[in-house]
Amino acid sequence: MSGAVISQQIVNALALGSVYAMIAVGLAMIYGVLRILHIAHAGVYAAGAYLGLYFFKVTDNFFIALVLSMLITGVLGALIERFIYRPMLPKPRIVALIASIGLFICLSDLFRIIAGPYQMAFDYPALSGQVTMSGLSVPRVDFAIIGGTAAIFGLLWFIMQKTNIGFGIRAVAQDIETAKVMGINVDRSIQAVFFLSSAIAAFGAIMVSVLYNAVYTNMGDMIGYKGLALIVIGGFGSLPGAALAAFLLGFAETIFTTYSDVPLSREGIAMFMLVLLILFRPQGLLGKA
Amino acid sequence: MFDDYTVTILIMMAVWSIVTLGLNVITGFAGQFNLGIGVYMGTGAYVSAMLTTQAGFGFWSAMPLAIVAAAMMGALTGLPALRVREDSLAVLTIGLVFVFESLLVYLPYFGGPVGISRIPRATFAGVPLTNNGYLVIALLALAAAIGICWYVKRSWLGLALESVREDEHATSVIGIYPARFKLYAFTIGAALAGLGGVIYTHFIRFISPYDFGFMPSIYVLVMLVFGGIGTIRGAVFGACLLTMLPELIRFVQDYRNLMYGCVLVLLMLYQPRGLLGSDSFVWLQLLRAKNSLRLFFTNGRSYAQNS
Repeated sequence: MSGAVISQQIVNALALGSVYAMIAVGLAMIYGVLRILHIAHAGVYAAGAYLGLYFFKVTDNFFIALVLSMLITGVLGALIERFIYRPMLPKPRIVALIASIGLFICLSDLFRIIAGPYQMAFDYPALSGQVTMSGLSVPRVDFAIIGGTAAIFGLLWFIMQKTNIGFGIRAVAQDIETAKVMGINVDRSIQAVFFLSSAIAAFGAIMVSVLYNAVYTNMGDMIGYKGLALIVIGGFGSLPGAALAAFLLGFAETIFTTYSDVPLSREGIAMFMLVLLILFRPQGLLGKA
Repeated sequence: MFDDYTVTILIMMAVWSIVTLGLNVITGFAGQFNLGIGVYMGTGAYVSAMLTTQAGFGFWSAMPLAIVAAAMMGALTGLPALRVREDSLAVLTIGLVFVFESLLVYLPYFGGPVGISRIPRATFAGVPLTNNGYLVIALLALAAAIGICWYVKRSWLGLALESVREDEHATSVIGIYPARFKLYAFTIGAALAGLGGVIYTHFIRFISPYDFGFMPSIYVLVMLVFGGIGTIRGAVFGACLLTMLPELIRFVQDYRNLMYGCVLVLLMLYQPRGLLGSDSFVWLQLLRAKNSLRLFFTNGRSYAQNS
């Protein structure tokens, strides 16, 4: 096994981990403010990919499509919060969870009805194909994913730590009631969280569709379930924990699928990690007991 | 008696009712989220299928073993569930159902992704049963499941489960050890789901891992919530209605998931207790109708005066 192969695997694992991290951090933010498992995030993710493909075909400009899709998906996320989750907050926890499952089932069938059951190609020549340098051959879009994730997380860190919106979000995540008493606009902070996490999910979805050159109705399913597993593994509501768990999973999946023949699918690995971790560390990697 | 098509739907209604009753014991009575009821149904189905196709067991001797296996699976998966609560538990059970499914797919011993086929029909006194005969067995199993649920709900066990659901800390203060009762709930619920799996297996006679994966588990949860979580009538009603609906209305079959999803969201927004739940609109109307009927037949005297 040469060094080139190893570095190739590292780039692959980083790109995979980045995609997981974008989903998991979004879910962790939502869990942080509302304490709900947003299973419908998988549907929002697929919506981002479909919108991106649509705008790409209409405008023929990848960046305009990316930005438009992120904005509209963000608004979609905020609408979901406004009209579905907000009326349910005083009710028992299982209510929001089941509504989220219902929304998720509904969304993926909606895509099937609107766009058809067949896989659609997302062909963007500037990002498809491989980069070959010194014996290393890596999909070009991997670099876009890693770079884009770094930029997005940098921006997210800035928003969360340095702006008033981020300050509000952090306050709401600590204690909704106290934040309200202190004069923070709780509803606006929660909307901002849903907007941000949905827009990030749209970015990840478009990158993944370019990587596999495919947009299909249930493309978000597996990544959504893994995202939920990751926020438990990372420790509920902990953003660094979710990101760390995502990159660990990226590496674990790359290593396991390449070098071993354990009787587990790619999906199984994340869930197996989850079950083991809950047995030995129920509060998660970076969670507080 | 009935034609094959009707019998098939009736048997499937009985099967899903039994599985939904099993989930009701775990999620409805004891309040433990479970998005992976397919694990227990699948354990019952696979154990029964393996015993009858490979070990030469009959339907009647394999059934108790399959149910015990499902109950053991319930206790086993209940153990990690003791360490986590609510949201983590929901995610953990999603994890369990995916691990279960991928193990079944990847282990050639269980038939791999194609599953097990040529499962023998159920027999009675040595004679293979017809579909009508099997319907009787399915209905008897459903009656037994309803009886068990009713007994659990009425006994002190049901009270303990309910108090665990409402407030775990208060429960442990009054001397009821919540972990033990959570395990009881998982075991009983899993055994019921396993019974449903056995009935399913010997009717369909072909099973694959995907029949017991995440989506079927979600459908069972949808049935339970639709009918009314925590009630026996709700579980049976929800399972029967949602099994029957796609058959009755062709339109529904094409847009099944869209309709399920929308109904679920609307139900959670306006009737979170389900259609026949404890203080749902329909159930209150039914109770009111019953009262006015009683008043009508007793010439306006109230029940207390009458007795």
